[in-house]
Amino acid sequence: MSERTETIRNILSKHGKLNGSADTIGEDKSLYSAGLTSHASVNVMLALEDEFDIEFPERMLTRSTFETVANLKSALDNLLGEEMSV
Amino acid sequence: MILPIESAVSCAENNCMDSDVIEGGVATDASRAQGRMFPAVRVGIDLVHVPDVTASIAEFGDRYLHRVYSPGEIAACTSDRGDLSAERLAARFAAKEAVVKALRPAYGIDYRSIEIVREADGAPSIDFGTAGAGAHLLADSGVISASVSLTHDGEYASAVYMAITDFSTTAGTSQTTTGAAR
Repeated sequence: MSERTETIRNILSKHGKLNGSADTIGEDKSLYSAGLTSHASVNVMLALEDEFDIEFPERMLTRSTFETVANLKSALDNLLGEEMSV
Repeated sequence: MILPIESAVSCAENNCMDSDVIEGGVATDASRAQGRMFPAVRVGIDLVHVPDVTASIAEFGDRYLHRVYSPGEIAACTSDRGDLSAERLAARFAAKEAVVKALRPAYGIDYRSIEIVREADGAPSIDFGTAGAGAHLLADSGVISASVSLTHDGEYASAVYMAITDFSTTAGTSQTTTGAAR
């Protein structure tokens, strides 16, 4: 597991209100099916922004961005990659 | 003809016949095949646990407030003594999410572009703004008429948004965000 994915899982554990463990949910399993609410996804977003010193742009504020661990990792890779290339 | 009043008006404008039947905003196959245009009904509902809002304010403070709510919404949820009402904020969040569920944008949308305001008579309504994702969402969805209702009781707040849309306009197929009362 990459360090970034581990951080995502830690934040999901604290803010995601998932029914089960965020440590074991499959990377492509729906977090919404696992209990993530729309309001909890805001907290996840804010916690990720704090952790990585980023800001999710409006184009990423979609349901799919927060649907899975893999999608969150992809979004972070995208944002952090963009920052590095500036 | 089974139609709510507002739909009936729109239907009349689109030359529907009395024999046409629209249930839940869906035209019959026969009338659709004849090329007639019908309004469609979209409904969204959301429920928010008020303590979750309280916890978000405690954890993220102004960052949470200013990423989700407009300045007007924050003011409307602040008492004269300066106390924030988590119940009112929760109801507004539920209303924003109800809009998202009803209109199903296919693109990202900032919750602040779906602003819950009060009409002169005190009734809540949605201000989508004149530009930005909210305005685009309203236009893309072909909303003809809409209504929103908010409530909160104890630890829960809820909202329902109902819109009559132009059947010829197809909203996005899903995907929106992460992220008001009396």
